Amino acid sequence: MIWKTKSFSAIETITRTGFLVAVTSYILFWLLDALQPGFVSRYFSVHIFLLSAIVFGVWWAAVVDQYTQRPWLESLVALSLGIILAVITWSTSDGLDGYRLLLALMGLFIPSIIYVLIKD
Amino acid sequence: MIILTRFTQFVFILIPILILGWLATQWFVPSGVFFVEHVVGEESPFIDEIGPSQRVEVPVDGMQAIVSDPAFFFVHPHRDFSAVQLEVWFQNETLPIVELGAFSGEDPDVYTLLPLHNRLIDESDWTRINGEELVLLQREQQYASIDDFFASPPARDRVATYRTTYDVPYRLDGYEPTDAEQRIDVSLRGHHEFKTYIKDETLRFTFDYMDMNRDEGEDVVRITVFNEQGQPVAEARAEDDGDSTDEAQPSGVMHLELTAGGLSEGVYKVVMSTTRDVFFRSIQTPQQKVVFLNTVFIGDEVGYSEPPRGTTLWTGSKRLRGQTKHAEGVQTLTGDSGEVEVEEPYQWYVLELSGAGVESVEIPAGDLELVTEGKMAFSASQYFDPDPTPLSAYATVEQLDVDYVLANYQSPRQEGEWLVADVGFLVEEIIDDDHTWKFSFSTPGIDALETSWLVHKINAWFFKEAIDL
Repeated sequence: MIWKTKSFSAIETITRTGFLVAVTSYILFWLLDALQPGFVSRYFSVHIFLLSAIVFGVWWAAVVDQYTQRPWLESLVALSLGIILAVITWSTSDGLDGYRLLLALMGLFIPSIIYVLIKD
Repeated sequence: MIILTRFTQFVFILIPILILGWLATQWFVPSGVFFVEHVVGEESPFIDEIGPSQRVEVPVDGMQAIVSDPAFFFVHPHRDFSAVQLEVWFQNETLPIVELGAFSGEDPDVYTLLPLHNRLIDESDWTRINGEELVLLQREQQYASIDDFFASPPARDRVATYRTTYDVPYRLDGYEPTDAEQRIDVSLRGHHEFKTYIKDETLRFTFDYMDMNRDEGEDVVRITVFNEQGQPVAEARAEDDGDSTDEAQPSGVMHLELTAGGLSEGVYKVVMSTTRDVFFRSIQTPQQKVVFLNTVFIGDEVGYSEPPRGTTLWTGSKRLRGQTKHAEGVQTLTGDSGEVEVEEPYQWYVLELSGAGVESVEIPAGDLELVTEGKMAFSASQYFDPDPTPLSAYATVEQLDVDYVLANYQSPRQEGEWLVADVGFLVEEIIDDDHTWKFSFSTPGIDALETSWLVHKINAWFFKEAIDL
């Protein structure tokens, strides 16, 4: 049996790096701006990193040669995002009374629903 | 190819690290100085547009006309600083004085005003000496420097001041103390300040006052005397009458006596500190000179004396603003050389006096708040003006009966078609409302002259301690 290291094309490596750096930067700068309002947003919009992540993500998806499924990891990420979204929705919807719980539950399940739809 | 790939990955990772580093330096300001440039009409997260909209025009091509007073703007520092310096680029062809003030006190609102442009000084043809901070104008040149001026200062009444003090003591020639008691029979509502003159006598004032209990809360009365150095030298205090409700049940007439002996000759300032529930109905004193400063509020006499007594005051000021808050306070104010009708409540009316020296002003109905930059007394003999003449927007240097003007002022510099003036404030003297500071332009006379001035830029330097690495 011959073991071969999995290899990527240069463009796939670059777009993957671009995507991961953009996502990490978006989370990091968004958190910094949430902790210290204006830390980033006084100078530029933190959503520039989100835009970069979308551009690199689409590009990466277009050039990816071989896709490996990691269902447990993907489900875990979707659930984690759902919890974060639910907490944010709950904490920012104080004045919405009866809709508050409904919106938080929607936030909890939306990432998982999107994940299932994409998977299908 | 692999080198190019690795280099591109390195650049991708480096970009957010560099951005984070740059943001950190903006936040921590290691140099100790943070600079913000703001052209009017452009958005800035640090300096808001000038407002309100009814007092300014819409900015066009980096210029904004200010057409009324006061116009203001807010500054939003992103962290703690110890001082701020504002630089204003402007054009002013018509207004005598343009100042910028930091909002520095509440109830009542107080602004620390600093000069941007004083055309009365800049366009005067008197001899001018520029010191490090002070400017001295001389009608006829008598002094070669500001140091010479302070080494041999002229009499107090020959000097006008602008945004500075003149620390030459005021002395009344030929003043002799007397035991004859004088009575100031007027209802004064709330906080007041006056100055009196003492020479070889005991300072003594008896205040008759009533607590009208119109607003909720305790109404403590505190009378404090300050000497010429601004140090407190005597105090009298009275507690609330026991009724802190707002049921408008007046107390009886109460008395508070203030006495201070052994005072050296000079001018003493007395601050009557209390709420607007307290009405001083009369003041008795053996002191011959008593002048009230800047504001008097002639109170209504509901529940005390019907019909209201009204009063007459004497002032050297040529411009008084008056307002009543009740229909009963509608009246005509009559001065020796001018009159004005207070036609409706909650409107300010200006009484312009054109005569020379001290004039009387009759206030027939009372219930009126009067504001002026000068002094007011309730009898002609009590009037004196221990302070140097202030240089204001309403008289030129030539019109003042003085030979010198001493000002804390630096003329703006010329940058192309713009004048540029810098003013600095300590952060500790600015009211901080959730990291928002308010600054207001003061342009006295802008409404009467129906004129405007232009602002191009407002730049700011924020200062803090530098970080030593």
